[in-house]
Amino acid sequence: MDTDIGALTVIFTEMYYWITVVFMFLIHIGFCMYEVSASRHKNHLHTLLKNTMLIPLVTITFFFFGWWIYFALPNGPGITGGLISAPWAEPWSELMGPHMGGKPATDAVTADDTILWSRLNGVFWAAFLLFSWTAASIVSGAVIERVRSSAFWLLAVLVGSVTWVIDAAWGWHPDGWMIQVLGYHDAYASGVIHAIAGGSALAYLYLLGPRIGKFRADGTPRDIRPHNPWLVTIGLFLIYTGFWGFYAACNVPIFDVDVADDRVFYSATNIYLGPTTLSAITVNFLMSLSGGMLAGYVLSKGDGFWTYSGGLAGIIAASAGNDLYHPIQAMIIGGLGTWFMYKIHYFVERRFKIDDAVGAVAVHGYAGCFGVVIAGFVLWGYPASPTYDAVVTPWGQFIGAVIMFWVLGFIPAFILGWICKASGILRIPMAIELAGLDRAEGLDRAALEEDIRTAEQEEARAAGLV
Amino acid sequence: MSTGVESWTGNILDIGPIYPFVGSEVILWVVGMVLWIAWHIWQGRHESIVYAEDEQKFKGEELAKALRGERS
Repeated sequence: MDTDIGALTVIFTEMYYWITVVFMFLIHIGFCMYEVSASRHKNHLHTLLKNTMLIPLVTITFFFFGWWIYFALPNGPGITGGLISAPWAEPWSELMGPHMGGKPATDAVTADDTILWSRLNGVFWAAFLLFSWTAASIVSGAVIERVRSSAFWLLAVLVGSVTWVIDAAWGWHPDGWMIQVLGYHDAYASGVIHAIAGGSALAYLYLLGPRIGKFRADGTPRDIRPHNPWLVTIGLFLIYTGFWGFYAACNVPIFDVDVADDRVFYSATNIYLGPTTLSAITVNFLMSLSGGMLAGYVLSKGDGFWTYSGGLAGIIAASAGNDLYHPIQAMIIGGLGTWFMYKIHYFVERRFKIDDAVGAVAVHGYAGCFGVVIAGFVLWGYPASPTYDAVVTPWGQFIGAVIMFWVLGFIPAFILGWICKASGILRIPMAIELAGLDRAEGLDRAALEEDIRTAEQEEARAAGLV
Repeated sequence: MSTGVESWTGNILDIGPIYPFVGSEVILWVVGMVLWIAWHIWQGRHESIVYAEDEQKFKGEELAKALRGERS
């Protein structure tokens, strides 16, 4: 901070991530609108609060242990090394609080640590936290109208502050063992956010069972339509908007990408510190969105819900390689990923009686896995990072998708859900689910308004006004 | 008496953490963890109590009314 250019670089980077955080907040607003619109009137407020309260719970737990996990576990531990010391990310570190970057107060951090992290730790933490909210929020939509809030909030903490952070340390860190060993490449989180959230949602959905009335006696599904298509539209547009911040937050804005010792060349990089540009990811974001929307429209024959969801699935399907794809590749991959998730969604719904209320497992889980695997073919032979020799391969990416969706997604959520189910706290009691969660929890607005109207009429009569 | 920073003058490079009560971080973390776990325990118990009461309420005709969209 003692030279103009040095200070400008640090403060620009700080501001860059700050802006991404504000953009990403829109993702959560979008998810809330989307979920409420997909729920029935009798369940609105329960649905809204279930999603909203993951914000404080994931935030505090990401502070208490999530951030440390990301820096401590890139080696597994036990795969490419042990636990990594990360004193700036420990929740009791002086660098987790306001800090001017000068002399450390304790020996736990060095002067170099304070110079590097004093202005960047907070905004990096916040950007990752917003990824955490997104991961947990993806699960939230799938399980509406039947999951108990207590059981969901435990899962939100597990996914948002533990499992996704482990997968980020493994596959979304410049030194993650999956990059070193598998050549894993997932620049904009097809797997590390979307596949793991989809796998986690599938586990809870399997244990919860469908909503009452979802399937007919012969096993065919009923279509429980969103009660408000306009809120679905606005919600998904807000998610698209927030996704811009998500993409930008996955980059490092200024970094010396020339690995030769005697030269310097500054560029934006992906999360692995491999070179890319904001222009590249901006064009590819839009082209993959477009490919997904076009495919979603055709597949659903013009259904609004699946057209918008197709756009989201298109972005997610191309995200693993959107730092490097040609825009037309991004468009085609977005379209193919949407076709894949749409077909699998209806197959799983009919075959396994999975009631995914908003298509979250499909849009995030199946499209995310597709995106990870397809990147293995399209980017075959690319260096996974500038630091290690491993290259991108189809098999490395396939193993990566299995780790994301099943190992860190489905299995931990299944274990937690099974414990909740065995304890009788997974699903809303049947009578309450039938009556409606808002009515049962004393949140029926119409009843409250009627009560107030009655009271006003009595007061008016008592005063002789009517 | 000061809980932290006493002056902004002097060598800026000597200024590190600027929050009050530097040195209490581990205690703060323990307090935070306890509050977080206590919140889950309270919320789970409260939810169970409310659902138990509502299950008693929504039986027979009351549930039938709710299913017809009528007020209790």
